Amino acid sequence: MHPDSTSRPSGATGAIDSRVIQGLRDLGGEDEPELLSELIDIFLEDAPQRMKDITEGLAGGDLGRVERGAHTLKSSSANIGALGLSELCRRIVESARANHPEALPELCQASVQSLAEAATNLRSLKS
Amino acid sequence: MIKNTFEEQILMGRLPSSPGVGRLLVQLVRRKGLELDEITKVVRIDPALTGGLLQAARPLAPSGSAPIETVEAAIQVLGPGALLRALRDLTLVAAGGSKWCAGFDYSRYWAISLARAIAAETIMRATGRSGAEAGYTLGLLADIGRLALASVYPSEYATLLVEPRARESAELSRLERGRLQIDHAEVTACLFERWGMRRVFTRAVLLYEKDGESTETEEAQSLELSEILRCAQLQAEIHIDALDREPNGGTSLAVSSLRVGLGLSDEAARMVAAEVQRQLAERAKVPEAAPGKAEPKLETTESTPTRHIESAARHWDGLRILVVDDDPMSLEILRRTLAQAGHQVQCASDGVEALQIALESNPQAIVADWMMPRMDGVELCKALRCIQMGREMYFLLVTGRDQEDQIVAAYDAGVDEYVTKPFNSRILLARLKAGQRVMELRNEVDAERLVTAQHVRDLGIANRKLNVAALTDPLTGLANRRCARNKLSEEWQNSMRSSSPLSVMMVDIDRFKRVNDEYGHEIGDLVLNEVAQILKTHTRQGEEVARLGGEEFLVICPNTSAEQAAIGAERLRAAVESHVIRTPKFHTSTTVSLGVAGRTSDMSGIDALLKAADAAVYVAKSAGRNQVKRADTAGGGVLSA
Repeated sequence: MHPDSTSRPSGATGAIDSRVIQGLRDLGGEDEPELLSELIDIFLEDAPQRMKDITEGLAGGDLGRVERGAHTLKSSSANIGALGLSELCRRIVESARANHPEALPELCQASVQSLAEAATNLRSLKS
Repeated sequence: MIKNTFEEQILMGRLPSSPGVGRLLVQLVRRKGLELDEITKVVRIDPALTGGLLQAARPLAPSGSAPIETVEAAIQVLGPGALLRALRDLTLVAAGGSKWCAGFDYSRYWAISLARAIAAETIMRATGRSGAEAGYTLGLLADIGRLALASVYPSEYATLLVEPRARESAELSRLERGRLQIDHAEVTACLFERWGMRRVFTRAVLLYEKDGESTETEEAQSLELSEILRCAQLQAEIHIDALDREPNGGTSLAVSSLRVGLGLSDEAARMVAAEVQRQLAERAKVPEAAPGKAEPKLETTESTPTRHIESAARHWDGLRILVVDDDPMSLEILRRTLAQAGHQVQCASDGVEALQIALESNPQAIVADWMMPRMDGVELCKALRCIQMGREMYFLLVTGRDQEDQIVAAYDAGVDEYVTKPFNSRILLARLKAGQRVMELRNEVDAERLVTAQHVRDLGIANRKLNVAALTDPLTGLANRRCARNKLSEEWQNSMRSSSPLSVMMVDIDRFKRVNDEYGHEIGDLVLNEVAQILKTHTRQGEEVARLGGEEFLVICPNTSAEQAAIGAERLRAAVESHVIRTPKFHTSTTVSLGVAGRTSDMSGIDALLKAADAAVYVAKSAGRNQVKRADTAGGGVLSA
């Protein structure tokens, strides 16, 4: 068994990296101050769909669906600064791809929680 | 009389196919096993692909075998390997952009061509004619000349199409000849020859364009095929423009065209017309490029007027980029990043959608995520590399770090460069910049190629002008002696081959020297011109008039016996005699003497035929001028001995 898969996922909070947020603010610049909140909206709308792929895929034994959902959520969460969530997704992808489903329930639970926290943090950034 | 040539297309590249056909073909070609049936189905829809495959198959056909006239036959001759190569070289897809002819309705062109093919095939089947499969090909390609002219001369053709009279086919031909020295029917005929189509087909497309003129001397089979084409075209238009929904609109027209054109009874014509419309309703559908998909989303930074100016200023450096990612977040960030750097960005959310948009809008670069549902980034790249326009796109793959070890496979698929996710926008833009330099170099080469292409096109027009000049008598505009001899040799061959009769009339203006001496050369030229015009207007379709020199003219009458030609000659004689020549100072008239000769089995060639006609003119002159003499009754053999 992979040693990593039994340990408690570290840094798996819903914290948002401030440098990423600053980068997105810069991308919008003065012309488009609303860009950041648009991107947050896109994320908040899309992420639950991907999470659904992960949880339902796991429940139904469809590891391919788990992997695809986690792969996409991995990059979109990194893009929005939810690096803890992104890391969790990376490990879900790895486990699913390596056919190690035994680690998945815990990772999934952690990622659901992480997404919920990240969502709260992101909403507060919008105001 | 002068046979036009159209060499440009060889050097100019290929004729375009519809984006929908391109999409289907790309999907078929990249699959592992070749599904010949499916490929055949797709190629059959498309005129450019069909013509291209016929041409590719032609040199591979065993000598002495029947001409290749169907896509099925071409594919059989080519075999899978050559077929794949031919398809990859051929697949040029009409997308937006300066290369395409503004005002040329490509979609309608493809729709009508397909409908005409189906209609022609159905008419032939329903009327019990053989060769309905080849009839389909004939119907599909019968108007390929217009597509060729629009492709080779996009800007010239566009200016010509805006003229209101260009809507009428005969007027369009006139405009084409005025501007490009060749008309679309002649281009079709040239392409037919290159594709190895039978002569009756080539003749049929030429005849089909000449609506309503007397064609009694033309070969029966071509004439019949041209009538079938005309009926098929009408039914195609009725179907495409939904004329049949109007009460008594299209259907009765279609029925009467079948009755008149093909000599069917009213009942039979009705049945055939109904069968054609039934087949059309079932089969005449050109595949759409993006079925069920909204308009491609063109996203630029041009949201406000000030932005517009700003981005227009930067536009020069920007690229047209298609971004593909199934994650809306990444897609949005990529889009913003690229748009801010001054690029024009379109978005797609997976490979299938990207392929459709790419075929329609021909982006210069593609930035695609690797992992996507339906079709992933590497598959998309492979698919695009199958076709000409897709090979020219700069392909940047966005990969996860965990996929870096597989990147070799991506390069094998034709990816130009990659960036890892989450991407650093500076690195992404730098890679694109590097790609842009590659593309600029390619553009420079392209620009040179464009200049060369322009020269080739101009040369084509100039050559045809020269050709016309070299073969035309400048005073009368008739064919000159050289042209007449070429034409006569050609007709001689035809007549030997098909054992059909061939006659000539030698026409000489009576006492012409006296006109020149008494009134001067100016009046002499006027008389020559007037006689030339009378001969031209009073000869029949298929007959050719030439000025051999001085006051001597020749009329070539294919498929005509000496007896028949003598009757025609008498008509010409009477027409000249009764014509009043109006000069600025006085009115006068003139007469001509004509000698008629037909090809006989003891003649060795065209010189013998011309000599016999000449001898007959001599007899006519000796007998008092202003009359017709026939070689066999003129005692030509005695006189010339």
